Amino acid sequence: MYQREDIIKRLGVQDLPADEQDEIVEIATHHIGMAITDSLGEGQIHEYQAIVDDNQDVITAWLASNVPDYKNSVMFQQFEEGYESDPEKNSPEKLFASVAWIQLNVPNVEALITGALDAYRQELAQA
Amino acid sequence: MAEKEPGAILGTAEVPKVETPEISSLRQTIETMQAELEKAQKELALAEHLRDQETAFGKHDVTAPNEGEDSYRSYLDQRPASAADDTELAGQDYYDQKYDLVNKGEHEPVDYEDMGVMQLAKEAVRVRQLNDVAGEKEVREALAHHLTMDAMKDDSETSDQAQKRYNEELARFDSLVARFESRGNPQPPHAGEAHAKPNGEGEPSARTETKDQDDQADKTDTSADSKVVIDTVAAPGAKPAPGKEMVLRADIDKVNDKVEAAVTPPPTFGGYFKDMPVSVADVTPHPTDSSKDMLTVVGEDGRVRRIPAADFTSQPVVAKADTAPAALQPEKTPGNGFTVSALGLEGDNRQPGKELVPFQGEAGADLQDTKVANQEPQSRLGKIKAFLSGELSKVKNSESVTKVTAWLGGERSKMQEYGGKAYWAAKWERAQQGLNAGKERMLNWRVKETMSEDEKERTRKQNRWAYIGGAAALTVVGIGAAMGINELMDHTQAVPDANGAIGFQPDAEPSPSAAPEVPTEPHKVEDLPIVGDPSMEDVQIPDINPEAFNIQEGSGMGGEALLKSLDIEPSQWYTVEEHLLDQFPQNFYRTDDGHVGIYAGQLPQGAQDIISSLKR
Repeated sequence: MYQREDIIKRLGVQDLPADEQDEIVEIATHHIGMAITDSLGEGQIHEYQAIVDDNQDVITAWLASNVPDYKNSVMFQQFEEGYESDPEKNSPEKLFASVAWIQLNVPNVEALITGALDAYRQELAQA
Repeated sequence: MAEKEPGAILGTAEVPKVETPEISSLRQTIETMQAELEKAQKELALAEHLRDQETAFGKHDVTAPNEGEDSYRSYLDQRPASAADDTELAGQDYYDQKYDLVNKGEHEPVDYEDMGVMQLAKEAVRVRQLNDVAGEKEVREALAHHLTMDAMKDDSETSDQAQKRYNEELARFDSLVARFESRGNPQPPHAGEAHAKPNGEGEPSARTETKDQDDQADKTDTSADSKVVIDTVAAPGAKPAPGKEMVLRADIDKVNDKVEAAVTPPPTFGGYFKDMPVSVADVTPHPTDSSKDMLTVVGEDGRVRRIPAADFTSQPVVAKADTAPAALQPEKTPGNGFTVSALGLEGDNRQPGKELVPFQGEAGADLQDTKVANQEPQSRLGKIKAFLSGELSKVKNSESVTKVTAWLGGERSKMQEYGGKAYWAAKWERAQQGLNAGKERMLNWRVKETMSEDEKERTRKQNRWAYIGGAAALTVVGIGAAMGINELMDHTQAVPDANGAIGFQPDAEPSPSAAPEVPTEPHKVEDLPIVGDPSMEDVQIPDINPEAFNIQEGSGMGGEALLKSLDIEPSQWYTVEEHLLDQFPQNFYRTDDGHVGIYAGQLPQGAQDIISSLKR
């Protein structure tokens, strides 16, 4: 499970101050996202970007095509419950679709994460 | 009727003294006048001391010409406009007039007409050093008047001779001025200075008359040792005590006036030097930088100081009366001190027993009316009390405490909202919007100033997508790990559509690009639980056979290989790697390439438990 602490241990930066660890985790997350993006086709990239940009037409169509019963999902229900307290008012459909899309379109996501973190660890060691 | 001493009858006793009412009155008057004289002498001594202090600190110094001010108008232009109203003062006189420091008895307007040539020459040097063009003009005019009057006295000279002599006198005057300038220290104007008589070539004209301007006030001797003041009008014919000399009251009045004038308090231009209230007595401007002006200030302790203008904090002069709230009026202790408790600081145990005592200066209680004496001690104490009362009210104000409590309660409730079930959803939402502290940093990562705006915007979008995608991927893995499976795909296969997007088509033929079949029971996306879901706690995982932890000799097994052999996701090794190295150095070691090796033999139970706890 890749919690923040797991990433910090994986990268070997346990001894750094918390603020530096935060920055490193952010960059590591970015590396993971780039690794995933590199593994996708151009069409997939556009589709995912549209979901992230809260394009409701794309989100609705994708959910209807891929997860028609998404409203029964526990995760979706959690997003719905958190909507009122969300200052950004992100639509639960968008949040759910962002995660589900990765699950469905990036089957080797864990390997990509591992590879990205190892590469970043090497980069930090050489820095 | 007093009894007569026995000696009186015999004529041998002394004749009793008989004091008439007039003598008694006179005696009382003398005693009163002596007391007043002593008081006046003390005031004079204090005033002279202050004057000496001021002189020592340069109050009467002549200011040097300022650079960049080549005319009197340009000089005034750089001064406050209020000082340029119909006045032609410059330098020291300017600031004296501005801050009302002029003592009419000491700094009367200069009358050049009453001066002789020598004095005029000194004046010429002085005004020239002050760059006082108007003053120099006046000096010249007065000189011309003198020389003209001298020329007119000799009727035997022809006009040409008179003109020639006039020019010679002018030349001598100029040489005299030059000589004074080279000496470098002209004397300030003094009304009582007599004109010098000529002593030969180069000296002022022999025809210049001298004037005797005797100033009675300067010569009055107020020494108490030899004089007693009487009012000649009130007590005509009165005789002083033996050894005493009568001095006219009018002379003493002059002294009093002079003392009072000398001790005229500085203008109400108050402020603070550090934490001491001070009054500005003089300002010496810096030639080029007004922030470097020097101020002559008089503190509340009566001391005169020269301080940089930057150290002077301008504040309104506080009235002498104690302006503290009536409720905080302290009660005086017998020693005229004010206790901390009297200031309303009951309960303040930081400095118990500390007393504030009024200043006891040289003037003492006898000179409370002296204007130059220390400022009323209670004035500063009043400021302290007013400040403390304000601070105390803040601390004791229950409303402020209530507000803080309410704020904390609000924050606490906000945190509670994010607990529990909504925690993970909120966490993902924050990742979605980059609401963490590094949002700005992450969005602008790899953005360079040399980029165009379009490139910058494109890079920021890519950063945002990548960051959110990465966070989503971590969430997916986290949820998947919680479920104990590696693949989350449904048994329905993903088929790319015309746009390249992948969607699920039920019962479609598997394509090479599709994900491999899930070896375990397939899970649909909608079945994914939230990490930390209590329902996951019931998942039973079979124990690992201890034999699996028996590392074979020569196997060269590392951490990842061990986990793989135990059917545990190898990447989880790094979550326990450091812990195992620390706790079991006899079993685990760091290789040269940074990986972890395992010595042959049975791993201890503690290490087995740690590895077994990893999710499978």
